[in-house]
Amino acid sequence: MSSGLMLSRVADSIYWMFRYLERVENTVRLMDVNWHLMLDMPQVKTNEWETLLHVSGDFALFEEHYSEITPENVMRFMTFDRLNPNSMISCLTAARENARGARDVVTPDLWELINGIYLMVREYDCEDRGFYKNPYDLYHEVQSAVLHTFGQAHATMFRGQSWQFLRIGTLLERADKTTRILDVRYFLLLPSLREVGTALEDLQWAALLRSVSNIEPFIKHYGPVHAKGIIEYLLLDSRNPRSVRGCLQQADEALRGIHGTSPGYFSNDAERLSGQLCADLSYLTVDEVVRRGLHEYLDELQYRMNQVHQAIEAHYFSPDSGEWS
Amino acid sequence: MYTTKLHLEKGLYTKLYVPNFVSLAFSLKKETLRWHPFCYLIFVNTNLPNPSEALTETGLPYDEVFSADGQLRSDFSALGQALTGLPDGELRRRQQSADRALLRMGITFQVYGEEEQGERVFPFDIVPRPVSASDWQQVESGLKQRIQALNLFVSDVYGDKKILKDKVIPEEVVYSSSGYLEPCEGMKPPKGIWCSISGSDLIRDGQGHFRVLEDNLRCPSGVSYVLANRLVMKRSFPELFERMGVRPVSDYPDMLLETLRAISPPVPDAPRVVVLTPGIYNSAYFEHAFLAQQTGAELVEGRDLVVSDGYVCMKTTRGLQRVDVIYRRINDEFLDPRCFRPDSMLGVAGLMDVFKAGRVAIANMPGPGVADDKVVYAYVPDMIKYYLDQDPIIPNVDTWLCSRDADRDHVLQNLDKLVVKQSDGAGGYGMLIGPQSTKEQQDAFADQIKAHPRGYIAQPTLALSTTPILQQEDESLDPRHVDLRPFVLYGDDIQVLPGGLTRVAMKKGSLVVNSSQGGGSKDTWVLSEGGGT
Repeated sequence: MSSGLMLSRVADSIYWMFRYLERVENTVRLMDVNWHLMLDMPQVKTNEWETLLHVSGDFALFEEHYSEITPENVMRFMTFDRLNPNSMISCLTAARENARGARDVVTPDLWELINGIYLMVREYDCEDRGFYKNPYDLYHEVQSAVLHTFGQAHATMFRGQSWQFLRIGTLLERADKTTRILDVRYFLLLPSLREVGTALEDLQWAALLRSVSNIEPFIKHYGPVHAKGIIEYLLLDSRNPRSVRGCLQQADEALRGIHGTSPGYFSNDAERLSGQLCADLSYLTVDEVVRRGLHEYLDELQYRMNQVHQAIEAHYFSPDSGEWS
Repeated sequence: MYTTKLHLEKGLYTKLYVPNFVSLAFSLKKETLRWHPFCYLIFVNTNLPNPSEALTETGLPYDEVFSADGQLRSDFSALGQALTGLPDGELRRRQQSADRALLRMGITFQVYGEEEQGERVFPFDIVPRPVSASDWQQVESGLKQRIQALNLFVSDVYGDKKILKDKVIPEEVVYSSSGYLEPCEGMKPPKGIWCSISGSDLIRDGQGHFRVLEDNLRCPSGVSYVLANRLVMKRSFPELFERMGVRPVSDYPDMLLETLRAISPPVPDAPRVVVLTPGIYNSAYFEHAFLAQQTGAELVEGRDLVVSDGYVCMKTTRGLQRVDVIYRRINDEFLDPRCFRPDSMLGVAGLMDVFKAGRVAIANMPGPGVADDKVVYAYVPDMIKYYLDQDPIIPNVDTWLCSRDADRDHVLQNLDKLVVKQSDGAGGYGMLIGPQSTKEQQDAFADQIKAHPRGYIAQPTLALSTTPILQQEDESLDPRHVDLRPFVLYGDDIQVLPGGLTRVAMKKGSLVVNSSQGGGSKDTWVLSEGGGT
């Protein structure tokens, strides 16, 4: 629209479409990393697969439908099971449905990419035993395809409101996933924190980093893996595009971009909560996080990100919540 | 069937040809307008005992590309050369590449009742359906004439009712039409335009003459497929477009926007136009989104709109914003629960009051459905005479109205030869295909007709024209029956899009063909003067 207006419903669709795409990208990366990790440590299989279920918060649902935690069951549940709203196929379906709801805004090129991933996955044979022996190809292909849509959007999308909502959805999801992965992994690795240096542990730390992003920049800038370095890198280092602080700062910028609000000011609750959270993260140290307890801190962080989400929803997406009456 | 492209010499074509006599019937329940462009029925009768008058002398349906002696019609020689001159496998390759493109573009539709199976792709055949410049000239002028008369009729029905007072059309026929909407009485749309966008369905009879089978004055669908098909065809046969002088259809969105803006209330800036859709689960959603995107209009659902301070507004991330023109793709009765169906969740409460205050325009207006009725259809030639003092340029299909005594007698005596339809019939229900029916069925119909004469009309079994499609297995061409839906825009001028949706019965010999059973489409190539040869 020439006046830079956007339907609330469409803003909602764009936001969720990219949240779901980001979720897919995270899920397949996590599955892939875990699968690689398992090849290196054949003796501890089940625990690690269970971890994945905790990251997405779907452990209870899994237990309802599967009798046993086996690699194959977890892969199936997280990849092809439509009963699981966070499975790859469910998220792709939801992303596509949202894209359809905003089809007059989503460019044809972007739509074709999203539709293409969906069609590829839909036609994939989930009974194919070969997949469970080597899921790499599919995971890699889906991940590339999702990144391709991000690239397409980044390179071609008009920098109007839809672009801002796209960024907010993507970045909030990414930040949320980082806190969850860190939380679950840290919790499970806690006992070994004090006994640094076994080969097994190095593998797991490395897997943690790979689950969230690349390990190579970490090693270059922080040296050998160590707990505080990892917390710093994943939570606070805004040079890391997947760090919580980095994501939230960009999301904040996008949020203010909708109304053109200057940094340090706010015009609605969403902007206020987001700005507050970013300010806190800017002046936070790893020592303080450790003092408050990493798990407790991550919990609070998730709660506050959710508040930002709710404020965005109330202000921009839900026309019935007061502003229109 | 046609000969394969390898055997195009004279004679083989007719030898191998198996004639099919066909009548086209409508499954489309107009009252609910759960119509989509591919859900129609074609009844094929391979052994009709008494070919109707519409057949050619040779007893074959009219083929649009090949003449009865198997020769390419001279208008289309360039097309024939192009198709036969390709290396082996090339046609198949292009067909497959076109299919993939359409799937990726998401040109799909949902079959009601089969939601769990997801969307389907609308089958597409890459052999274009050519229409010569002179044929098109007749179609275009005929459609302009027709929509002019229909629009005047709708104005008249909801206004002065002159045509009823002069007894050209019986009052009871109009008021008993299910498309007649009492709340529209006295409404006066801007510039008198009731039908901004319309699409009449045309067929060609045994002599190749165009005839109008029905008019769609509410929300005709299918134009997005015309545009998408064309896009795919340009990639499939780039070499042919220039050579054949195919007239472009790509400016339809501009024409549409211009048409919609023509009825806008006066506003200081460019009018704000929206496309009102029932939502993503509607079978024509793709089209709604496509048209919105191509015209730059906002695609809205009923829940995005609200009447506030006497205006229709949409809910945006920056508050309520006024809307000037609504291109509605929901049914008449759902537009405004205060005016029509109170249980509608799709419309906007209070919309019609805003309209009456002149603060929003609606395309198409609710109400023109009165002229879609199969009985009213039979009077369209009379309307053309009455309002324009002209003879119809495109004739109707001959129609007997059972409400007329003489017609009814004729129908009752010829039930074994005619197609009898309910005037507001839905699906294949209430339809009798005479030549295929049993004596019991005919008797049952005779009783129904006598009990409710207004409810039935009859038409001859027509030999629908054919045009070749590609058989992928052996790359041969095989004739299939087609119809044509051109699109007409009525704004400051009346414009006919040079093209239209050609619907084709893809499956050979099947008795009932609809989208779920193989109904498909083709790109329609309207050629410029001297283009095809």
